[in-house]
Amino acid sequence: MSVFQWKSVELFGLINLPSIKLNDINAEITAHCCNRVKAVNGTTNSTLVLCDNNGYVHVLLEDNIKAKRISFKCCYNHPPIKLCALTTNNLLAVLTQTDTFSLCISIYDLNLIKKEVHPCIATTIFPATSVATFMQAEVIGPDKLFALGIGLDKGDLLLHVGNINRDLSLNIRRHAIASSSINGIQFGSCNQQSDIKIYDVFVVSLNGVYCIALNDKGEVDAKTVLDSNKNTPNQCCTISQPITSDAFLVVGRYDAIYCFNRNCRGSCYAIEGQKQYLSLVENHLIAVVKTHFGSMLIVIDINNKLIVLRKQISSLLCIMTGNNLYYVLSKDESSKNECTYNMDMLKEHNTNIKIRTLITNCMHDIALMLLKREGSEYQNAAYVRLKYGNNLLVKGSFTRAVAEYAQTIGVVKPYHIISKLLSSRHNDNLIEYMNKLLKSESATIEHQKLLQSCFDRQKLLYRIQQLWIFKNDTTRICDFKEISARRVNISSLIDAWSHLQIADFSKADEVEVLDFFLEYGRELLSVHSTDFLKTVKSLIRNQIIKNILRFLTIFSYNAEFCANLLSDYIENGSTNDEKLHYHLLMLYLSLWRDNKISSKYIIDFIERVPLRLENTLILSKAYSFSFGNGNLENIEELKLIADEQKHFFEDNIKKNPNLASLLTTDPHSVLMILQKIYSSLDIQMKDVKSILAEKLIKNGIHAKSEIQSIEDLNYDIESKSSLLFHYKLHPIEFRNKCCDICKQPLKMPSVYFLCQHSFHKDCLRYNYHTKKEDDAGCVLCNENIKFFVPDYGKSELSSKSCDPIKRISNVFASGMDKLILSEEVGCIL
Amino acid sequence: MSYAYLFKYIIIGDTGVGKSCLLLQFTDKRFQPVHDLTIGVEFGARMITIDGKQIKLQIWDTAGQEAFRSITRSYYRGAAGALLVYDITRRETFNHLTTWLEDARQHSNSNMVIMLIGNKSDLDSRREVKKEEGEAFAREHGLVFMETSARTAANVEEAFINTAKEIYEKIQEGVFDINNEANGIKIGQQATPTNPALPGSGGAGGAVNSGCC
Repeated sequence: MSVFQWKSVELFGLINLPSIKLNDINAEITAHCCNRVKAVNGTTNSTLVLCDNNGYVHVLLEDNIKAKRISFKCCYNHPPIKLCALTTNNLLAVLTQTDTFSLCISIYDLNLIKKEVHPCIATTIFPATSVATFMQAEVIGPDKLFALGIGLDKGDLLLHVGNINRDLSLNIRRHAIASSSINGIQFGSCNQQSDIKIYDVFVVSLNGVYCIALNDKGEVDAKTVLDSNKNTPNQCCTISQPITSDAFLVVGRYDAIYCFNRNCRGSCYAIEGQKQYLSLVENHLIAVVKTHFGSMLIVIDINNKLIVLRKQISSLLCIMTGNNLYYVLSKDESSKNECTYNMDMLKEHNTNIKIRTLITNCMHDIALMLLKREGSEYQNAAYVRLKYGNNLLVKGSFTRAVAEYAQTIGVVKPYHIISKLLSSRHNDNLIEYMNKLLKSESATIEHQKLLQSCFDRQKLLYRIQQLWIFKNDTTRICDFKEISARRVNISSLIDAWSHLQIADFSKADEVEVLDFFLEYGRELLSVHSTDFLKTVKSLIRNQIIKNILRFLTIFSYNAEFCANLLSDYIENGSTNDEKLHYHLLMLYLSLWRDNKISSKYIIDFIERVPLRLENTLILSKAYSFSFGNGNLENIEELKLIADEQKHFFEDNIKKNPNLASLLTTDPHSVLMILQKIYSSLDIQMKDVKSILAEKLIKNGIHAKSEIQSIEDLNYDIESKSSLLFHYKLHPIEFRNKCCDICKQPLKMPSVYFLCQHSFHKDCLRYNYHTKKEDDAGCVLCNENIKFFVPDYGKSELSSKSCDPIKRISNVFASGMDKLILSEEVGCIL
Repeated sequence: MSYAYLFKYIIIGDTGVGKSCLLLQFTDKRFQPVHDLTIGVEFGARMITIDGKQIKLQIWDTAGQEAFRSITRSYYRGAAGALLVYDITRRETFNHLTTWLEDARQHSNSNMVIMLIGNKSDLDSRREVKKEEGEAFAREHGLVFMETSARTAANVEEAFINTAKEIYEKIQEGVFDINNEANGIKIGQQATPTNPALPGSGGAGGAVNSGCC
């Protein structure tokens, strides 16, 4: 049913009023009608008229139904009242029809009725040739003319437009309008064209909708066929209230509710089902749709395309329209008294409740529209906007969130919004908000500072991005000047570069030089490495930089640069500092690992430089560097040392049991061991060589297994990617019409599985007790799997049931092919 | 407000292609980023000027979902122009054009002017249907083609106005029977100073007084 496609939120309530007992109605109700009377003071009252089989007319007033109930009997002794209609000024028209189709029409002024028997103010007997099917009465135009329309089942329309005479028949004219039974007449607005007044009258027949233009004399000036539809008959109709020049007709059919203006068709609201009642007051369309359990009352906010109430009603009699109120009169089936009726008041919730409900349902935009429509305070709207902004922020619509936040300035404290936008990813949004905030009176100096900080953060971000570009895109290094023209910060870098080229470092302190390189070194190196290297080399040669290791820490990320510098320093400085040689070896090994230098280069270096072989070996192992066969002359010596000291470390551990706990595979423990080893003079590095070597082998094994795992995972990712690619190229189209559980047409919310099974979400919950639809995949497929996969354990268990009949039935149920007539079963038989 | 002619349009196409947004942009000159699903048929109107004549466009914006197809089909008859919309970022909406076109041709009058619209042209980075493909489809089926963006309003006015121009030209050429309302065209007071009054009973159609919807 298409009603489920609508957005729905409960903004109306059906309040149960005390049951009313219409004891004096002791006969079947044959006709009823109601109106909406607008008093001069702006209040509206409504009147309900019920006509019974005995010819009585019962009038119920909205103010106090019990107190103001009048019943009177029609003065003529005619057949029961068949149709009745009430104008907004309480003129009641009642119609009876004889067997010869003659129509008896009487007009009563309900404002004058006080007694049980009251004479009518006008009456007539009008000859007709077919059955009267619909009657509508209204006062129209500025002259308050009495308009009465009677529809006949052959498509004829009897129309009275004019002042009420004692004999109504004088003003009644017959018009052939439709080819099928008329079931709706609505009087529209009055249009003045020069001196002539034209009245719009909408006529609805079973298969047509017409608009006729009546002149003052009640003659049809023009007729427009708005729609003709033989497939889906029109069921009921109403006209939008209040009646203005824009008033339009609303027609209910089984498939939907259609709107018509005097020229053509308009909107259509897809509400399926047999329509029993329609009413459209301002922006609320009330529809009563017949269902298999009774009736469904649906209230639609047509401006927001939202169902604001959906309630079941049983035994609906009629609905009275009041001042934004509707009274639903239905028969009380639980009562023994047949004349007892339930009265429910359909009332819109107050604004606070509505806004709260809408916010709860994440319908902030509708809440804002509602506040605007009701002219609510600016402050209320600001708080709704704050909530809306928060909601949009969570959903990732940052720009829209800020637009909503900006409209809260002056009401909501800026802190509430700023605190939500402090993350660096919302920096631009925060700038946008702060810019708007600073234009308002509620801005402070702190807010200005915050905006400046935002700009600084933005610059920093940009700078980082630029550096990334430099780092990753070598072709852009040459664009140094171009970049500097764009960025202020980079221009200061140019100054630094110029300064570097012309600077006289001879008088500078080493600390000053280091500070300079700490600030600009990395950037200068990245943009102009060759010149930078030359400069630094000259500084080292000139002894401006004395502690080279301290200097190298600044550029530790660039092994090539450091190795270059250090080798130059060692060669030119003729230093024999062992520390520097080891450091250089480490740099070379790291370059070797990055495939930047060859193994031979390292072996040449080791042979050339006086290094302790065991330390060299440890460093080489640390970088997984292999010396190969016979490349190193001293390799035999290394092996010998290793053999001699093989058990030395273990002996030391035995002597120092406290260290035994450190013999674990935990890397942290190994580091601790190394630390203690270095601090202990008794233990030499060569002593722990064997254990470290063992550790490296273990790590190697772990690394191998990890590499294997990575390969497996990569393979898994590849297979999943190809599956996804397959789905992308061959998408599955879900065209299921029925739920696979209840076999009813699918309606929202529903769940679709890739196996092409579809279910109502509710069906899944009720039948399978799933909390989430994706809990266990498709329930049908799961069941099939259970059925096809033989559960031997289960059948065994069931065959050993204590109840012999149950056991035999279980054996049969499990299938003849699996039937194992065991001795036990044989005994039972 | 009086008009020379009244043209009725229908907007059709798959769900989510931006039909309602196109209408909103054309009638209200605004864009709603989050638009609710159309359930049934929406209605809009706007006055335009062609060849110095005031022309009123009445536009029915239909639901694209299959479930509402029976409702929307009833709106084809009585439309002089149709905007057949697809989404350039979703190929399936382009693939369904043939079905829509068959439906439109089957249920509408034969002279109905159909404009093919590739909407969401602002999302060029996510484009799945080339402009050339849209042009080729339009050429093959005798349609007018345009790419529009309801978000930026690019070509939206042009799409509606060019369709109206085509209809207007057909009226001038005598292709349309303007006295038959089923063609989706009505003559207003500007075109016919005196409205022929119909007899009080019988007969369908005929001119009616002008007026705003």
